[in-house]
Amino acid sequence: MIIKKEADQIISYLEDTSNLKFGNADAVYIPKNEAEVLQTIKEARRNNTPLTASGAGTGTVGGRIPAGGAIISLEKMNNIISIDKKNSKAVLGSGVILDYFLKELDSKKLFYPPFPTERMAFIGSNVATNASGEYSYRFGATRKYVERIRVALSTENILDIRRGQYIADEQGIITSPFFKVKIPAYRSPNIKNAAGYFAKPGMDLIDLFIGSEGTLGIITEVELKLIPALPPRSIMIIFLDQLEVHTKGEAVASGDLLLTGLEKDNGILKLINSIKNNKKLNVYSIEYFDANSLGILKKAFPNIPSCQTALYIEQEKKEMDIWLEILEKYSVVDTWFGDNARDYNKLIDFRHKLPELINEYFREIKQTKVAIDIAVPENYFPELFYFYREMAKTTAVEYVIFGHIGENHLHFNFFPKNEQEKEQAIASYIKAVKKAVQANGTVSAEHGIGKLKHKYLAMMYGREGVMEMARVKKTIDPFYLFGLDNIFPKKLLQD
Amino acid sequence: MNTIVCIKQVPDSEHIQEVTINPETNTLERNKIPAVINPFDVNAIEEAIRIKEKHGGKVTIVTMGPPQAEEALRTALAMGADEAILLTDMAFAGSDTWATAKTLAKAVEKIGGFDLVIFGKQAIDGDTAQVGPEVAEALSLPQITYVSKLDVEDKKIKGRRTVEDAYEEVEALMPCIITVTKDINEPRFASIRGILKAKKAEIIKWGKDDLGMSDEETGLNGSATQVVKIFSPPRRGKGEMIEGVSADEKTSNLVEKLRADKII
Ligand SMILES: Cc1cc2nc3c(=O)[nH]c(=O)nc-3n(C[C@H](O)[C@H](O)[C@H](O)COP(=O)(O)OP(=O)(O)OC[C@H]3O[C@@H](n4cnc5c(N)ncnc54)[C@H](O)[C@@H]3O)c2cc1C
Repeated sequence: MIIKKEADQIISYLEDTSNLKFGNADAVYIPKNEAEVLQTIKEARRNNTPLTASGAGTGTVGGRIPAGGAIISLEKMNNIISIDKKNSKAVLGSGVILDYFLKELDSKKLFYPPFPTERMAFIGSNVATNASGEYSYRFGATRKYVERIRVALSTENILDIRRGQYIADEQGIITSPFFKVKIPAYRSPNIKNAAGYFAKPGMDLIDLFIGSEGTLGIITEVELKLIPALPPRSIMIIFLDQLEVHTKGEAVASGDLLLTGLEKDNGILKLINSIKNNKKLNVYSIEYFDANSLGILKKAFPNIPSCQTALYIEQEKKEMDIWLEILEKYSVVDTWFGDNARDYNKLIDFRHKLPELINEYFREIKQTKVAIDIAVPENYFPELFYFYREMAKTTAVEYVIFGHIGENHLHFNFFPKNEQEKEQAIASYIKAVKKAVQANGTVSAEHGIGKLKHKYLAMMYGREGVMEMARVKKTIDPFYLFGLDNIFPKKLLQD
Repeated sequence: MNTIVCIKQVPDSEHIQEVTINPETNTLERNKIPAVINPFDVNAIEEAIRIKEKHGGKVTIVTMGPPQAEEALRTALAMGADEAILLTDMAFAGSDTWATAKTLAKAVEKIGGFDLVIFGKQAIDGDTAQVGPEVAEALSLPQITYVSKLDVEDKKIKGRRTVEDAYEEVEALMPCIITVTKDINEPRFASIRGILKAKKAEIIKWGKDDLGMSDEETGLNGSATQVVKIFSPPRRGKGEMIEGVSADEKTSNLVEKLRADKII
């Protein structure tokens, strides 16, 4: 096993994409197999130091950044153990890089539906964070495709969990060979969600581990469900103007708002509903860009026309007549369509470029990002959307709104230029979180909680909810060994 | 101001790994991979449409090719071209650049009433960059090749001609012919309306007789050159990715490997 103890060898493991700076650790352990993982755990227990799992470091909430102790990096557990085309499944070491896996699948004409956007991430981390991806609108997040995992526990055991094997009984107890755990009493919202431990009556133990951000055990191996390679797809970008309803206030004033039925809202939400409800279309993703996003994107795509909004739609077929029918009721400034490989790839870039340009801009203004990542159930989304519009109109802080509108999940990013603006942005953030909580939504749809969002998780599940998570953690990881300070502050474990 | 754009349908280079050469006929097995408009020709179409948007007039697209080249013409119409002509005839088969140029020149003449003819700088399958200049010679028209920036004035054009490490500013009186590089513009994407319009549009088809050409002038007979053999170069060995989380580690893994293989 490789063990790194020199400061200059450790330093690259002390960061991810959150820009958090507190990371420190005494050593990095790089096991090659499960035996070495167990040996690492034994050593951490003997030294009585916490152990933080490290993937590729693409996380956005400081999950892998150690608050002291040692790091266990899964980078050498990177074997593709098998790809079984006949049964459409793959078994992988947790350190396999997603990009490598996807390319292997491609050559075998198979596909991994969660298709997380950041291809350098490790597959085990994707499971640990329940990563969602480019086609989540259509296929859902990682959770749905995890059939089996192997986890090293702090009790120095390997637990092999196959879906369906360990299920909560009527009292909410799950019995495994190494522990008995009572599942939390709260219920996770049935939407895109990456906030805290998953819980649901009659749940599967595997779902507790998926999305647990390295707090319950070290995932060593995963078995994933696959599907046949996707048929060719095309991308369309619709540039729109003059949507009649801009904010909830204006909507109410014009007597035009029905929060439950959208019949009278002649705006973009109606358009999105008609896309979602059209059975003849075969849509993979629906992404939203506000005028500010388009302003930023103009750097890379100078031909963007001046307009208010754009929708990005990836789909299987090219049903032009249907699209004309749908779109004729709206003020469409232009449409861009790409189905040959070159145009398709250019248009994919339209979607990938924005987060990149945003991150560049953050680095330029030297501020940490204030990025809202909430999602709400479908019927509440109009309310949230108008709230965002209102917030956009009234804030003095620069912002962009973009993202996965098909999944009722938009990113509202602020660019505060000074402390005062930062305070304003955070105040808005908290308002948005309250909205999400009111609506039984989530405070984090895809970024997770990590070390950044404890406060918001507490708003979502209440103090009792978070205490229940701490209780689960104490049961499964009685030595408080793993992922210290992820999801909830470590002091909660001492209470 | 009327512009004619000559385009070619080529195998999609994004699928280049799938291209094979038939060892018996020494030709590319084209039908196995998707076909697209030659990338430089897309810039040519874009430039013509921009000229129309600024100065009025119309854009006519011409291609010589098999019946399926109609698809390329419809794509050009979807971008905003007004008319499309397909030069298709068994007699055209086997044309080299000269026979192709003569045929295109006849078509350009027949269309008539043009101010400018635009080509892409070269087709990415044959890579000869000859057809545009040959058409200019056949029609005795002035030509500017490798144009990366174009200004249209009253009776003349000014083109920036890219040469190695520099560019030339060249003026020509219209009517004239230019060939364009990728730098000249960023082509637009087709719009839904454009695609639907293009789907319904009529494609004009001309054969040898429509162009008043003889058997001797066209196809293999009219070609001054002949391809004797095309073959795939031997495959290179498979590359190997060096794994590692950091650049440091990748470097040391590489060194380790080079040592093990006794290369260093
Ligand atoms: C440009 C960009 C785009 C992104 N897009 C998406 C997106 O579309 N959807 C999305 O959900 N996320 C996205 N992310 C976030 C990130 O890529 C995912 O969270 C990813 O799953 C993290 O993988 P990683 O290998 O980098 O993990 P790391 O950042 O190294 O770790 C993430 C967390 O997982 C834990 N962990 C890692 N490995 C294990 C293991 N074997 N066992 C137990 N715990 C472990 C770590 O302790 C940590 O808490 C994006 C990030 C970037 C920079």
